[in-house]
Formats: sequence, C-alpha cells, structure tokens
Amino acid sequence: MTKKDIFLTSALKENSVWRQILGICSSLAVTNLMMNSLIMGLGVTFSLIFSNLTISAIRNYTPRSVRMMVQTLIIGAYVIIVDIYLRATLPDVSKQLGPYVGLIITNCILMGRAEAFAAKNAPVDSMIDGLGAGLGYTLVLLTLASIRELFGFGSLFGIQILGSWWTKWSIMVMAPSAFFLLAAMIWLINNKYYKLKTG
Amino acid sequence: MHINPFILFWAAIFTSNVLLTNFLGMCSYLSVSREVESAFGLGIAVVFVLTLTCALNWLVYYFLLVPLGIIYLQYIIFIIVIAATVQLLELLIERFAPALYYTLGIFLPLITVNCAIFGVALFMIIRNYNFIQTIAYAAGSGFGWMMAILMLAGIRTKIKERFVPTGLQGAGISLIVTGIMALAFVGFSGIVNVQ
Amino acid sequence: MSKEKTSFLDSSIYPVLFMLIVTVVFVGVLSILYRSTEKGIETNKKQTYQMQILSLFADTLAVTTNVNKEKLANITSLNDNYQRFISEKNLAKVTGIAVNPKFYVASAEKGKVLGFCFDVTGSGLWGTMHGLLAVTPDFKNIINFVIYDQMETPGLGARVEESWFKAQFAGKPLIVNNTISNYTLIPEEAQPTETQIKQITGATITSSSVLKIIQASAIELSNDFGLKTK
Repeated sequence: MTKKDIFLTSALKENSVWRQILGICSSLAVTNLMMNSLIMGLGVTFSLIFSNLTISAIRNYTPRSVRMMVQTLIIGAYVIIVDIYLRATLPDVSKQLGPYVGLIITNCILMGRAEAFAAKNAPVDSMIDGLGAGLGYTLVLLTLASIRELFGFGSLFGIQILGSWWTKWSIMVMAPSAFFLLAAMIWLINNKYYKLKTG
Repeated sequence: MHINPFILFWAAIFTSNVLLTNFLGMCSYLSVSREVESAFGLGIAVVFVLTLTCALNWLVYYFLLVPLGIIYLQYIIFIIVIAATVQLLELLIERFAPALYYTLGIFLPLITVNCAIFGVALFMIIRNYNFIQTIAYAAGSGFGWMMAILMLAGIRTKIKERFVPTGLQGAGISLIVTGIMALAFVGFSGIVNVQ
Repeated sequence: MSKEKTSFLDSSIYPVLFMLIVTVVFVGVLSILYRSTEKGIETNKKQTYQMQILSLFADTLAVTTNVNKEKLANITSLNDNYQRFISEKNLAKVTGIAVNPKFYVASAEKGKVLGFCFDVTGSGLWGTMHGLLAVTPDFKNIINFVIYDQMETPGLGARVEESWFKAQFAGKPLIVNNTISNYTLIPEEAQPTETQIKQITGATITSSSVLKIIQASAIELSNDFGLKTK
C-alpha cells in the first residue's frame, strides 16, 4: 500500500470511531467544547504516532509473551509525556481535561492500532497509520463538539456565534447528547458507506 | 473528605454511574452486551477486578509512589498493577476453578483494557478517598457498570426481533439506548451530593 | 545453524531482560522530562495563586494607594507588589475545616489593613472546590471572591470561574449586625437583590455548593475571630 493509502484507510475508510467503534469513552466525554476536543485529539494523535513508531521499531525484538505489556508501557510513557507537556504549558486546559488525558492510555484506539498495524509493519508506515488514525479520531471529535458547543453554548472554539437570543440547549452540554449525536453520525456514515458498497 | 462509604457506594451506582455519567468502559460494554448471560459474566468479573485493583492501586500509590516522589509514573504503575492482577487472576481461576474459568475466562483479558478500571483508579486519587471509601467507590462503580451492561443486554435482546434501520444496527442503536438510559439517570442526580 | 542463532531470543531470560531494558529506558526519559519541568510547574502554580490574591484586592488597592491597576496585573512586578501589599499569617484559633489556617492580610503603606483573604474549601458536585474569599477587616462585606480550583463539569459547573459569576460576590454583605448573611439562588436571567445570587443554568448543585462554602466559611470565621453572631 502506498503511504497515502495507509493514511486514508486509517483516517477515513477504517476510521477508529465510526467504523471500528473504538475510543468511544473520550469521544463522549470531552466533546462538549471544541477546544478540549482539539487538544485531546492532538494528544491522542501525538501518542499514536510515537507509540506506533516505537512499537514498530522494536517489533522484531519483542518477545511474544510480553508483547502486550511492552505496548502498554510504551503507550503509557508517551501519554505521560503529553500530560507533563500540557501541565507545563497549558495548565488551564490540563485541569479541564483532568483524568481524561490519563485515559488516553486505555483508549482502545492506541492498543488497537499497535496490535493491528504497528506490530506487523515498518516504522514509517506505522507512523503514518498512527497519524491517520489520530486525525480521523480528531475529526470525529471536532464534528461532535462543533454541534454540542454551538447548540449548547452558541459558540465555536469559545468565539460567540449565536447571540444571547439563543436559548442554550442544556442537553448538549450534558452527557446523553453525545450518545445520540454519535449514533446519528454512525447512521449517516453507514448509509453512505452502504450505498457506495452496493451502488 | 468525610463521605460515608455507604453513600459513596450508592452514588457510584446511581448518581455518578461510571458508565452513564463518566463514560468509562464503553468499548467492552458495546461489544459484550448482545446476550444477558455474557453481560452478567463480564459484569461480575468487572466488579471483582475493579474492587481488587483499586484497593491495590491505592496501597501502591500511598505507600510506594508518594513516599518515593514518583507520582508522575502513576499511569504506568496503575496499568501494570491492573494487567498483572488480571493475569494472576486468570491463572488462579484456571487452576482452582476450571468450571468458572470456562464461563468467565475469556472476559478476563478484555478487562485489562476496560477504561473503567483505570478511570476509577484515577478518580479515587483525584478525589482523595481513604481506603474504605475507595473500596466502597470501586465496588459501587463495578456494580453500576454491571447494571448498565445488563440493562443494555436485556434491551438489545428485546429489540432483536424489532425493526432497526440498517445503518443503526449494532453500535448505533446501542448508543441511542445508552443515551436514553443516561438521560434517565440524570434524574437521580441531586439525591446524593457526593464527590 | 539457525537453531543456535535464535536460541538467545527464545530463551526465558530474554523477555525479562527486554522488559527491564525497555522499562528503564522509558522511565528514565520520563524522569528527566518530569524533573526538568517540575520547578517550572511549581513556580507557575505559586505565581498564579499569588496573582489571584492580589487581584482580589485590585480595586481596593487602586483606590487607597497610588498603585496602577495594570501594574498589579503585571506578572513581572508580581513579586514586588506581593511583598509590598500582602503578608501571610496563621489563624490563632482553628474551629473548622472550611477555612485554611494560613491566611493573607492586605495592607496599604503605613500598615493600614485593607482586608483579609482566606483560602476556603468545600465539596462541589465532582470534587473539592477551592476558593479565595477576601473580606473587609470588620468582616462586614465580601471584597471579592473567586474559585481557583474545581473539577466540575466543563461548560456547566466549571462556569463558576467565569467573571460574571465571580463578580456577583463583590461588595456583598457577609456578617452584618452580628448576623451571617443568608444567600439564595435565582435563575441566571433574573435580577438579583442584595442577598440573591444568579445561579449557573443547569448547574444547581455546583452553584449551591459555592453558597455553602461561603456560609460555612462565614460561620467558622466568626468562631475563629470571636465575632458575636446569632
């Protein structure tokens, strides 16, 4: 596969969220504000790129018996780097994201990509796969967040779009809306995908 | 803080349900909720592993990480404790209760990547619970998670015979059902003011 | 032959060795990163905290001394301003847990006390909330109030940190005529009277938690400082 194919596959065709149904936890939790979603998406992308790279680089030396532990350790290390970086440079965002940065470690996407791709492919390809998966995930997050923030606060990225005449939809700020929006998104994409498949 | 552990237990099930309010543990929740039996098996396993690993992680955090000043490694250490506990549990159950192993066994490796386990461990540190509170909170979270997955499994069994649009089958309808459950659970908030 | 070649990789020692090496390498990198940023993060935290205290008294200081308000908000003159206007003391008597024993006294030149600032805590919906309560020397009024640490829901409870919410408390009565003021919540759109606070829409619990913190602090302060209250 060419590098472009790898990227497009992991970002869109085999998107981690809407196709593989992974990484749902954080998709629901941080999408009430676009800024949080962006930071989270970037954090996941960063961790994905480097964990994929590292795991791929040592894949030929990694004994099968400790494979999962090594992957967990590497993913954990990069996530901690993201956490330390956020705490040092963007303390307010770090506080808002709270434990969800740490939860990147258990984000099934990272483990999923490591197992499915990085463990069997060359480092550079794995990096691109990580980049694609991360950006695809970020795309989903931003889409959900744009709707939630727009209808819940009337703003996008903190910039007020709808004036005070808009009654804020509290449900968009609360937990359940994320479930419905994600389901709607999966439905729309599945329909398009099925149409392409059969048509 | 001085919250009664019993209240914490009930709050963890209803007002701050680990899955419906904090969104943790969604991946295995969505995939294993097709039948009530498997949901029940996984739920029980989660309760057990959650309580045990949270207790262990609490001890490790306060007696190892804090004195040594290596709190920044907590993510890695916690997850290693969880992975090791699950691995050990698997071996023990396979050795001493093979019947149990064949019913539960396949779920145990799945639990390691269940973000609920890790998330609850992180939350207990952030909220400064003492040991008894941690046990109550972890057990409650486990039961709350189990309750949520059982409910979804029950509902999915019922709607199997009904019409669901093709695009929504599987994950889509599960998410909508979970959303409605989450909405319902919002009604519980305010019963107990807990952290 | 190939059998000997792969023997080391297949031996039982290799996985352990491998794990050890990987662990040491990564933990080493993390430690270096952590240590190098640790001081910066600590300094940052302290500066933010001190800046918060100063900002609570910004208006009062601007009125009573000749200091420029922008200068007070300037990070480079933070240390000078802090030394000049704020001194740290400890409560002689501690009667509760809402008010931290270490408190801050804001004074203008010539020792004139402008007010006290207390670090107060209480439980919110998701976790403990920490705030700074600045009061007049006679405890009659709140000069300013701010929640500087909370873990409430972003977009809902977390809005306690928004300026409109904080600004509501400035000048409100605390302990007047030996009575601790009792506050009630009203909807965000309504117009508040002196003892009403506009709540955050959709965040009733967090809003009332803030009121509880202020009330508990007032009670404790009256006990700590021996003020007679009904």
